[in-house]
Amino acid sequence: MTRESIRGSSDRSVLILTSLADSPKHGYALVKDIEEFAGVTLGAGTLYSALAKLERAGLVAALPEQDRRRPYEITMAGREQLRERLSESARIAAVGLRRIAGAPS
Amino acid sequence: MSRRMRWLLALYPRAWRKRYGREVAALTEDLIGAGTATPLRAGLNLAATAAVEWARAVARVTHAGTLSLVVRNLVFTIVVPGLGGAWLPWWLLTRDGRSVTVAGWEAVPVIAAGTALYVWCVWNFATVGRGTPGPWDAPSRVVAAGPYRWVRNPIYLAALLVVLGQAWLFMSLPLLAYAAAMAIVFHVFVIGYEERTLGYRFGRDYLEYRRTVPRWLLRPPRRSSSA
Repeated sequence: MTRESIRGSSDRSVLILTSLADSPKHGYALVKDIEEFAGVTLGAGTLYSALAKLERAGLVAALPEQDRRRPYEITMAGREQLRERLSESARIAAVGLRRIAGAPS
Repeated sequence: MSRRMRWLLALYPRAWRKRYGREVAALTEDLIGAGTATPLRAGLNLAATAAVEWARAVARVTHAGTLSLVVRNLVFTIVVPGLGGAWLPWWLLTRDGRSVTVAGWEAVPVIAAGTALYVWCVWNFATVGRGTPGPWDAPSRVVAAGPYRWVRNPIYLAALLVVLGQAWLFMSLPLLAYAAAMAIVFHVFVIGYEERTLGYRFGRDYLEYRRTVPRWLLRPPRRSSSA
């Protein structure tokens, strides 16, 4: 598995929720922020497809449009979900890192 | 919005496009403008995502029971209006080997209007109340939308329009008598059964609705009841 393919499979919902966790953002700000902290550039279609799914699930909410850009914010349920997902990832990461360190390469 | 963009957005399911189309178009322009995406990549990404959204929309329809709602309303339409508004009038017209002649083509718009009104009512029962016009599979809440903002019993009015239109179309006294009988039966059924049942079932919601919208006569809706 290459580094690229790990990136490709990283969950977009987690990236978006993580990006929204500190402040509401509109589409362009989301793409730029995610690019910065995760090194992945989402396409416009990909981003909105994921946003639509999150909005339907009540994990993010749309705010009123500000000169043709609509910001999105994370909801309480979204925060809860993100916390769960990240804690789980952290647990698995810890185990993985420990095993890698212990095993002969 | 560019023509190319409009064309790409046309690939999406309508509901999705209406909600997110403008935003996705704006973001695409921004990304291309900032050099983050090339037009080709952006186009491919939008087309691929459209396929994903269609798959989701189809899955949602088959899972949320919308398919069954469509089938239930089709069955009701074939059985009840089909029998009472088509088969029975036809039987009345052609009984004892009578031949049918069209006498007044002017009646066609009346029949069409009645049919359209019926379809509009069913649409509201299905989308707002997730039910059918059949009392055994009725909407789950008071439907006060569409034609129901003007009058409480538009389906019965639609049925009368269709049958009266047919009576006119074929200049048939038996059909006129049939329409009159229908009107009496509807009135008795509405007063004796439906209004009581709806009162028990929906309580205050229905009483409030009954207070604001007339039973048979059309009245323009008030602004507050338009939601």
